[in-house]
Amino acid sequence: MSKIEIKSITKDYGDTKALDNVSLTIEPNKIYGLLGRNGAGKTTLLNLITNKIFPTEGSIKIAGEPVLENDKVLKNIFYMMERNLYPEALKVKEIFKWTKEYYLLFDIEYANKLSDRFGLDINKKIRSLSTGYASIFKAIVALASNADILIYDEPVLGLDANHRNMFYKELLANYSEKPKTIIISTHLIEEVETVLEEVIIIKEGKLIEKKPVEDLLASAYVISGEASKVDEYLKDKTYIEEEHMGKYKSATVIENIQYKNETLARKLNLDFAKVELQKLFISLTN
Amino acid sequence: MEHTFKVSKYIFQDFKKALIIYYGIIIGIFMLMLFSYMRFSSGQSGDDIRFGGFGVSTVIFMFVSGLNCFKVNFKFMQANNISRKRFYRGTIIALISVAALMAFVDVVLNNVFNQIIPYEGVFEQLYRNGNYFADFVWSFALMVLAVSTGMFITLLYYKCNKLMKVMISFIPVVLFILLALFNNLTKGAVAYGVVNFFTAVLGFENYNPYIAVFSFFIASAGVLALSYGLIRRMPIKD
Repeated sequence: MSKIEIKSITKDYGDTKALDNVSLTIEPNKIYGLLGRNGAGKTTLLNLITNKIFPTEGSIKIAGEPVLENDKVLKNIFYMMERNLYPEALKVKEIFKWTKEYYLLFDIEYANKLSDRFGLDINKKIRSLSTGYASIFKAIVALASNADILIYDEPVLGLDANHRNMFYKELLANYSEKPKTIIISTHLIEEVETVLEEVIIIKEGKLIEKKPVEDLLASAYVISGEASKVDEYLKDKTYIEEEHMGKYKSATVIENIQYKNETLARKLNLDFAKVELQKLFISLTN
Repeated sequence: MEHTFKVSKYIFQDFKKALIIYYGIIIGIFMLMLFSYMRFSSGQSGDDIRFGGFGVSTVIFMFVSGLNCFKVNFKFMQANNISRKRFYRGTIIALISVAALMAFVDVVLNNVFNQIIPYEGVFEQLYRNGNYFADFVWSFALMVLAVSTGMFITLLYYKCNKLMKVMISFIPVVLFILLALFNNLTKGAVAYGVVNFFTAVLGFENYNPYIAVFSFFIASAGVLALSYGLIRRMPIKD
């Protein structure tokens, strides 16, 4: 089981600090969401975990072994990068064949089945794939790799809603059949929310939150009802995201759900609802 | 090690098509030579028609292959999470294997051509030596140097930013101008020294090809060591 230990990682690009003293542990066999605004340092962190770049300071260990230029560790990770690193002159089926050489557990039959399901022509050359199909192709290679750790950087880039839905379903089916560590970096938080077990939030190169999704969602709630009554409830409370609809309004209260005042809400005829991860993310990163 | 050979296997596979095309062209040129010979030669032993030296084009082919063997393969190996050191080792094994294969094919073709038309290979022309083994070892060492140099130049350009690329491109020009200048100042002593140096390291003094083989291997080792220094922390670039 491959635990990822990130200790005091800093990455500088000239005068820019892309990551600043980040430490965290990624437990095996969980699905993580790596969230952050543009330029927060998400891709830098993923590139460091996968030996694509080198840290300025700090260390990363997987299953107790340093990741730096360590093939023993690297062969257990599959990293679907946003950019294309595959030879454009090769056909999809040729890439499947060659990936099998480097990932011994790569399942060509499964890759072909997924290609069929997603409508990816395996006889096409990489250069002729559209942005969406290039993402589908890379996502299929990752799913079929059977690596212990799967890392996805913007996996659904350019995919239509139908294909995005298919991808999330397939990811969960794949995970259920063979649990593994999955890290997904994405901006589409609403879509991925139900897939994730834990979230890691990075802001300006610093780790600001790492929690199970449930715990994070329990740290806030939505209150709604008649505007004046909602305002009365919100007195002395921290809240974000006020939304008005005629004389009604709703607001997201930053307070653990166990402290919500149900008696007052009942008296004021207000309703509670679960907070959305995206709203919390916006609040945390703004 | 198994994984390293898999890197070599991919790179070798990448070479296959180019090798087939290259030798197809060489055989085509030979057919032209044969046609010219049959058309223009009187068949007398005193004829002046002589052919030779396709080995030079093989060395150029290896140099160009070295120039082209890095970027696409490096990115593909990075997509498969292969470490840089394993990629380096795999690449070297593939390039050395290709050099050995081409040196062997060249020696065989030289001798086949030699049986049909008045043909002399580069090695025979330079060393007045018809020994097959010496020809093979010399060609192999020269090709290893050519392909290593090509790869080193590519690595250097890939790693550098725009300003450094321009500077690197100007260095040989500046060196050449300086050498010419010093040559004038020393009344030809620099040129004389350069010629003497190459005569010695290429074994021309006593027609000993093994001195050249030794020189080529030493130079290749130096170039490959520098290449490793460049590849150790190579970033992925577009």
